[in-house]
Amino acid sequence: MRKQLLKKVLALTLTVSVGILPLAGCGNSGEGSGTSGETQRTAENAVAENAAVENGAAEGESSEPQGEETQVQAGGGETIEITWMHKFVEPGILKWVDEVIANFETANPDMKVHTETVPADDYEQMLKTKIASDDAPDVFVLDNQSRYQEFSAAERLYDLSSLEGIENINPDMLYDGQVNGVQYAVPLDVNAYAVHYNKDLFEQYDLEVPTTISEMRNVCEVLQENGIKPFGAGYATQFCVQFSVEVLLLPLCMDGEWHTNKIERKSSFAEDEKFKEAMKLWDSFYEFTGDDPWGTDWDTVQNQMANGEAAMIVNGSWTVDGVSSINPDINIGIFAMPTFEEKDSSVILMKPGAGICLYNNTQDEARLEAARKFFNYLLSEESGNSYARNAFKISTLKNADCSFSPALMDALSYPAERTWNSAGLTLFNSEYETVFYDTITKYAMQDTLDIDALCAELDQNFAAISK
Amino acid sequence: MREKRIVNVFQILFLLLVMFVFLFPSYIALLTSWKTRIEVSRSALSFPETFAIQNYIEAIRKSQFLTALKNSCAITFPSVLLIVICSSMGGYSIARHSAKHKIFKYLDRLYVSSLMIPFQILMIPVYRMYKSLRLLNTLQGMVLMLTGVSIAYATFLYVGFVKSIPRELEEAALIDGCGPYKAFFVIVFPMLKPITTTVAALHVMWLWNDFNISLVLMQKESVRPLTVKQYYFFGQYASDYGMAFAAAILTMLPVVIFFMAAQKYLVEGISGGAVKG
Repeated sequence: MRKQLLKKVLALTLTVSVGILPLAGCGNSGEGSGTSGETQRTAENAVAENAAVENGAAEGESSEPQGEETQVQAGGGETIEITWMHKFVEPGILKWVDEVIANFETANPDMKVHTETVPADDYEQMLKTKIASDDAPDVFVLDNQSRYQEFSAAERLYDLSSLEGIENINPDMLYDGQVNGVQYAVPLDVNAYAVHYNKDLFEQYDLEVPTTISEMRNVCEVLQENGIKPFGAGYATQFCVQFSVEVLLLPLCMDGEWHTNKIERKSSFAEDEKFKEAMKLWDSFYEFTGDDPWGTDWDTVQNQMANGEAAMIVNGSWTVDGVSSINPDINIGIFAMPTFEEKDSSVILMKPGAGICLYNNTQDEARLEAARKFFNYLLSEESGNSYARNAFKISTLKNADCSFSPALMDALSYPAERTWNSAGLTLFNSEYETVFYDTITKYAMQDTLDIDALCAELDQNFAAISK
Repeated sequence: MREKRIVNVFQILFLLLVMFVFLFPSYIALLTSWKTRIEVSRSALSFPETFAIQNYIEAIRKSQFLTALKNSCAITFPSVLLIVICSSMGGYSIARHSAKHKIFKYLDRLYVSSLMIPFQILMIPVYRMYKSLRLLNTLQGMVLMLTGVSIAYATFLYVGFVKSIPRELEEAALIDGCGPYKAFFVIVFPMLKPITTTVAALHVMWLWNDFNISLVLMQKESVRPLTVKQYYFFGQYASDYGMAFAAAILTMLPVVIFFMAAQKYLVEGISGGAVKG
């Protein structure tokens, strides 16, 4: 009897061992290795590569009030670890991420910044999961105004107004991160939405940058006659439809209330002559978008421009980096899409990009203080210029330097009265935006664009949402 | 005789055509992985002008390939081992005892109904639980989770198979003095080889390719498996297809090697299962 019991105990022990051994064999614990993983390694590399920049950072940091640092250290004298969650995968931006972390950690040896990269498609779900699980990142990226409103309403965002780094940012861009006058996010960059063109092709066919609709049509006709596709249009990707419509629509409806009026049903599409004019103009350039714009995606369009098949792309200023990374020899310029017949009246659109936010951590003062300090460093001139240079973007810093890119300088060369800045304006949220562009796509894919029917359906769809 | 030969030729041609269709995506992936970005922009089907080994070097560097490969192996293979051990025992118990004991019948139903629950619903509670148990960002935690979410289906497969095995052999073993565990491992388990091979092969493939669970539970770069590292090559507005395909080829390679090495056993197991069924 006893022997049988012993056998059972032995069998049980063996079974448990079999279960545990493979787990033990896995060995590596992320908690320990994470700290010494990529973040630290890349940070060390960046330290080695950017020694001069670091020194500057150290100096910059030392100018901060001593009291703040003391308070942070008072949290127990141990290293304070903060987390920065983002969705950047572009090599240039990642280089900036490594650089700012390395600089910050060198200047603040008692603080450690961990990054968590989540792909854009899963980013928001993951962020919400972490917040709901009391594991919110201290610093994170949010997409747009509607997200700022949503997260601030849930009291998850820290009021950034008191951070001294805010003073480094162009005040016109700060409107974009405000909800009811409180600064909850700071956009890192601003994108220009315009026509990106191959300067060499224009030179080859003796073409001038067009400033009126007729000149634009003339440029398209010359290019088409010479076997060059005037516009690379990747309408299979929704944002390509969106931006090609916006560059025509927004300058015509420059009234900042346009979106709000449509959302609140104060004005209808059917009675909006400017909207109809914009759609007619958009449709008139359709013949210059090649054989199959609805079957072409964004990646293909960039390829077409990079290899000289297409001469122009209407999209955001990230086009410059995207096309140049395929063909580094290409010579790209930017001009505003002509929407009027008067010369030099075209308007360039500027929209701030995603904003960085600070988590309203009410549980851990020391961690919040460390995150505030890191956030301040992200808003510094040094960090902003590094971001612009590495990411090939227009920084939201005051007097942003874009001398590294002639194309971005083209976009910045437009005077204020010919620039439409969306910062602080209420645009369509994702629900309205999806319905708006889906309906346009539905009608545009037909043989002829029936603008009246399009307006009627847009009114119907917007009314359905507002109910 | 001549007719038979013509039929054979057509069969071979048909099989070649099918093979071509199946291999075409892999062919494109392989081709693209050797091209520079400008070559990819010109044509998807053209041969690479210069073999861009740089794509592979960069893909290995960016995805920290060796670490990610080690993580994928450390997650997949122990999980599959645990799944096979636990599911075969569970499936055997349910199949043999559900007629006499209602609890086994309910367990069977519970297992099957758990298949209906998507991971998204479990995500927040699991995340909280793992955080409090300090299992986040650990390979052990990941093995437990993958085993947990896979056991129900594997058990379901085992239950069906065990029911088709005659009881007489086990009964004979029990009469000869075997305990229930010895009877299971010495007599029954070898007879489960066909379904075990199927379960193992399917789960190696599924767990190796898992993305969602890894993304949620493995947030530190040092513990992320190969599949999660893939997205580094796809930006919001720009993608590097040459490098992305190089990384994809590298990710596929271990599984392809595994299947080629184990092909004989897999085919034996699956066809054995077919005969038994």
